[in-house]
Amino acid sequence: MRASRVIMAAASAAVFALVLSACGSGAGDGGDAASTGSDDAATAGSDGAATGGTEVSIRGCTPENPLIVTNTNEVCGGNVLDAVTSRLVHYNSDTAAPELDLAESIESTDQINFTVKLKQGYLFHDGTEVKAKNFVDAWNWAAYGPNGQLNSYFFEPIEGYADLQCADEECAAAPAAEAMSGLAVVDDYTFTIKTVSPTSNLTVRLGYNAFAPQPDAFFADTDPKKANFAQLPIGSGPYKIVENDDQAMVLEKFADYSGQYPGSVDKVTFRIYDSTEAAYTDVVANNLDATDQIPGPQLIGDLWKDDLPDRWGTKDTGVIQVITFSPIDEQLESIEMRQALSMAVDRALITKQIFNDARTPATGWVSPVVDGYKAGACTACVFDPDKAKELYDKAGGYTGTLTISVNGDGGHQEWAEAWCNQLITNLGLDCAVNATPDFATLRKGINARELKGLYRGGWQMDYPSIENFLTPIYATGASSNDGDYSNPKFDDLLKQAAAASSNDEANALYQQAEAILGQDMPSMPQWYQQSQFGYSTKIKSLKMTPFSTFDLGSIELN
Amino acid sequence: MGKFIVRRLLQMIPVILGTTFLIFMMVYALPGDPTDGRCGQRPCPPQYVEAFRREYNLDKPVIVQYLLYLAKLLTGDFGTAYNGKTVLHELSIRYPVTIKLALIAIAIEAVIGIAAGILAAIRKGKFIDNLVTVSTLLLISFPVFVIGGLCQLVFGLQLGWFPVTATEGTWEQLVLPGIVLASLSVAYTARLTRTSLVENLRADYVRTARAKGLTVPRTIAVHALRNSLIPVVTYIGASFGALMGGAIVTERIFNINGIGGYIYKSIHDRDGTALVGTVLCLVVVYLVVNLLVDILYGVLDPRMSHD
Amino acid sequence: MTDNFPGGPVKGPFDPSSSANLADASRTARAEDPTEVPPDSAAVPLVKPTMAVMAEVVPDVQDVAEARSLWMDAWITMRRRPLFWISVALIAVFVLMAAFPQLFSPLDAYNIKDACDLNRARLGPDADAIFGYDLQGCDVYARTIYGARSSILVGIFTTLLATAIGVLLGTMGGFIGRWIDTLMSRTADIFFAIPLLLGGIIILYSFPSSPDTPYLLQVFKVVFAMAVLGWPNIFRIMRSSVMQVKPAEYVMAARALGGNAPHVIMGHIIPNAIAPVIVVATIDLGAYIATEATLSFLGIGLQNPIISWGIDISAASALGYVRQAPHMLIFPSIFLSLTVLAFIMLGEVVRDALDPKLK
Repeated sequence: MRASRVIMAAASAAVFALVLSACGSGAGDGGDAASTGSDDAATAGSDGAATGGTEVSIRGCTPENPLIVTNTNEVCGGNVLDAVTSRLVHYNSDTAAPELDLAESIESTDQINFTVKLKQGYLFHDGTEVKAKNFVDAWNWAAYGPNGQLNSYFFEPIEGYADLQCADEECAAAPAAEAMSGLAVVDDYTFTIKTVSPTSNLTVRLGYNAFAPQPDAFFADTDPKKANFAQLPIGSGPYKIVENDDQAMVLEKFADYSGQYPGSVDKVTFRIYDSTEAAYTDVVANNLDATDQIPGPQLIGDLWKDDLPDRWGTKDTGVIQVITFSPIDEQLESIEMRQALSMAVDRALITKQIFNDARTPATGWVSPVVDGYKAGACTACVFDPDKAKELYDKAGGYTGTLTISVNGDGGHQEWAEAWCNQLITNLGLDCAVNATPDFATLRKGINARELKGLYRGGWQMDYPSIENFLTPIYATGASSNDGDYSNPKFDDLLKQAAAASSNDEANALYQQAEAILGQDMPSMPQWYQQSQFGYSTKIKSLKMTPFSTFDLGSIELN
Repeated sequence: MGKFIVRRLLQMIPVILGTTFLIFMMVYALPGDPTDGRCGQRPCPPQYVEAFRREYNLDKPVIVQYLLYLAKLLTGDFGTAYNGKTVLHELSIRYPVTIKLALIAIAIEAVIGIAAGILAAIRKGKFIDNLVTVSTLLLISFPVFVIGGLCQLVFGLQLGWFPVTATEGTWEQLVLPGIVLASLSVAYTARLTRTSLVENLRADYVRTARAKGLTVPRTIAVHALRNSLIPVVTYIGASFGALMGGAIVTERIFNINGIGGYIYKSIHDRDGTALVGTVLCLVVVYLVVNLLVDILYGVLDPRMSHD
Repeated sequence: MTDNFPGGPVKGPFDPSSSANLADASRTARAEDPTEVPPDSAAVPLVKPTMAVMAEVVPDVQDVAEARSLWMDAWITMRRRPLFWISVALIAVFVLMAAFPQLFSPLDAYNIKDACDLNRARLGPDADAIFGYDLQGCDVYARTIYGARSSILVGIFTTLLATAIGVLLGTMGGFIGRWIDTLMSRTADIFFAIPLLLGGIIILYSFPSSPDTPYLLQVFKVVFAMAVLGWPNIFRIMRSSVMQVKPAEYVMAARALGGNAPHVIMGHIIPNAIAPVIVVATIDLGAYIATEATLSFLGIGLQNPIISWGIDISAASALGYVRQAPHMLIFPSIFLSLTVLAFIMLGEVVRDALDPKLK
């Protein structure tokens, strides 16, 4: 009688196993033939100014900061602000190519002095017109040191930016100036920008959220942090925000929007989800209309395509993942060691087994979605275990345990373990994954240069330019130069490219710069990202932009 | 009795101070600055960091921070979280949801747990007893994230018996998460009931009652059960607070906008203000429920008096 | 009951007039509300009259040897029960597995080169690997065998630590009463009010482990985080149990016969009060092993390259994997369940044997 408990436990476990495998059946037939979903959903056009209260719900997440364009640099707040604001330049939702939006024209002959002419008649949601001063005042406010805005460095290229910064960290003394000398209002619809050095891609940059104009109401908010305004920020975009609380951020179509990128459905609710798994499950059950993230495990065996028949899509996005060599780890200094660690890993096998090919093995440091991309800059990204072993031995091997540091809250452990295992198997070294509890802890270790070994770095482009994948990460002293890489030749090429008179000329110079990275291996490119998304049966089609956000204007309902 | 309650209420003050202080210190001791992860791949601009630290008093010693926090708290101000929203506003939205969830879990735990425990005790050593043991044991041995995920998959998605998530936090949506949350406690409740009842069923007063001619169900209901429920009530009472705070994983799986998720997020953000405020409310709920349990004790077991 | 009145030990309406009790009664002069005793209390039978009778009839049992004989009796009772041997056998197997995994698996799971091949990721059981392969293409059988050590160490250490603290403080609080009890109860409240997961997360965030952290230190961090928040549970049960036992006649008798406090506590109070603690502690043991998995799920438990059931279960628990490669979840889970089962069964046998009331 007593003994039977063990048997029963085993029996229950077996039943449990059966239930599990029953759940698993019906999955796994995968198949590319099932490409019923669309890699490029049919363009909706915006003719269907939907009638009578159409609405959709989209996965959202909790913004980290108050909703101010110059203080939001993450997707949770950024997704909403994208729809609420419009900028001088709009990125094409298919190709990311810059198109003029609020701007009538942006002209320069020397890549230093720019004249911006605005289209007339554009309104903010409170009915006031978008004028030149709304840009100039907003940018000056954002760049002003004491206001402590996260995105202030976007204004760095503009002349006079330095005068707006605090002299000391405590900001005891006010900065020398309150307005950048490089900005001037000419008339209501014209202003000029002067940059410190030639900046050929300024136009492309101006599409970033931080460059959105702010209405008079913004400056009327007496709170120094603009907290009241940030509750329901006013922009000039196709949607206005009408509700902003813990559970949802609700957008309604702006009736007086007169631009070329109008919204489609009347009401869009960004419903807050803490986990992408829950959002995914809700989309499968048709409780949520769209999610911009599919949990990694659902990609395996194309499970998600079965869960979401005819209602899934993928999009190549401007994200690249790299592994950076710690600058404080002397054993990783030699180029042979770096090449060995890169060549010993079969990227294609990892992307196949861990991501079900939802990542593409990288062959360079620049995402294929941007203008100027050229494949093959990273010669050591080719899998060659024999050559790797040879180089590794030549470099003298690695003593101790090589660690790959990743943040444990981002689904990185799996590839990191696979990467480690390949190094162990192919080079015979000791390798372990160091998963920090969260992203903040990882960044602290990297920013303070405390971590040895290897660590991950993911880069999502701010604006679609080859320059954005090189300058902020690999220029000497750049803000995101985690590996402390420095090569005067590389810096010089970046400068020449910025001053180039034509786009093609600039791109060619940037490609030469990238080739230098191939010789120096400041980091190991891993793979380019592809975003997957899914939607409910209510939606007929929907597009994702190269920034992995939804194009709200493209939504077509059934 | 009145004085007992007053004294207990007064004793709550040091507990509340102790807990908030402990949490405050723990958050302070967390490695990493709140601004470390806020700027993605870049280090944050120093001016942003400075402004941020000034705004949230992070530039002062931790004791001063704590006292400033307490002073604010006394005026009913729970402070502002790092994302610019007031903590009180967040709590007023999130607490009702989590309390609902905990109530559902408690109800399930009490009803199923006690019933299963009684069954197992009166059929001690028989099939039912073994079934209860094995089934509750299985619940214990699977981590809550496994049970939660499987329930969501099977009962929510595949069978469609329950809503798959509980974003709005309605009673109907919270039933499935409530079951998941209760699963571990059900095992405890059932086993405590069983143990306690088995002991009492062997006690002589029960035999006396039987000898007096009382029926078996009546003996169990009137005498044995009443005495047996004391440890069970303690446990259930104590678990209420734990359920509310322990809902971190369940809330995550079912996307419930309750305090579990808020706690997790606050730790992530190193947001002491939001975390301490949340825990403060948890502690108060916990203490009040425990007081109620102790008062209930006197009713259930006259041997224990609040003299 | 109970919670801690300075000077108010538990008192029943049926107190025999032992001298010890008279002393207590005189102290209860400070009692605030004697009328609070429910009117129907007379209907409740006296506690355990047999024990009282036994204590009176056989006073010479109350000697120092009694405690020892209690455990001897327990041993005699236990060894007659098949359940005892089954659970002991299971535990022995798992402990052996934890100590010498190489006896069970020829393949060393820590030897990545031999145990893992990404090409085999998630493949089901075959002749080479009877439990199949995991996400990294590692042999699930080898990992499950090698994972026993971490999980069992965490479960046992945490239970021991939490139970030791809880029993010590609970006995003190329940037996001594007065301000000591108040202090302990409030301290327990502080720790109890902090949910296990919340506290565990904060503690483990504060003391993160990296691959360089020695194995035992990593285990201890997890043990410490859970025990610090787990003891009040045991404390409360022990304390209320002690308070129930304390006024019983056999305790009164022992005290009246001049037994000193440690003797009474060790010989009478603890053996009679520990049963519910053992039940909860054994269930807790399983819960701690499962909690360790939850901590891994939240990314803060034991760290790679350590192998534990918790790490493997959490890695395999994503719904996408469960639906396609359930073997990655099922096998470590079965081992975990069996371990929990073994400990609970043992706890139950020990409880039955220890509890004089059930003999």
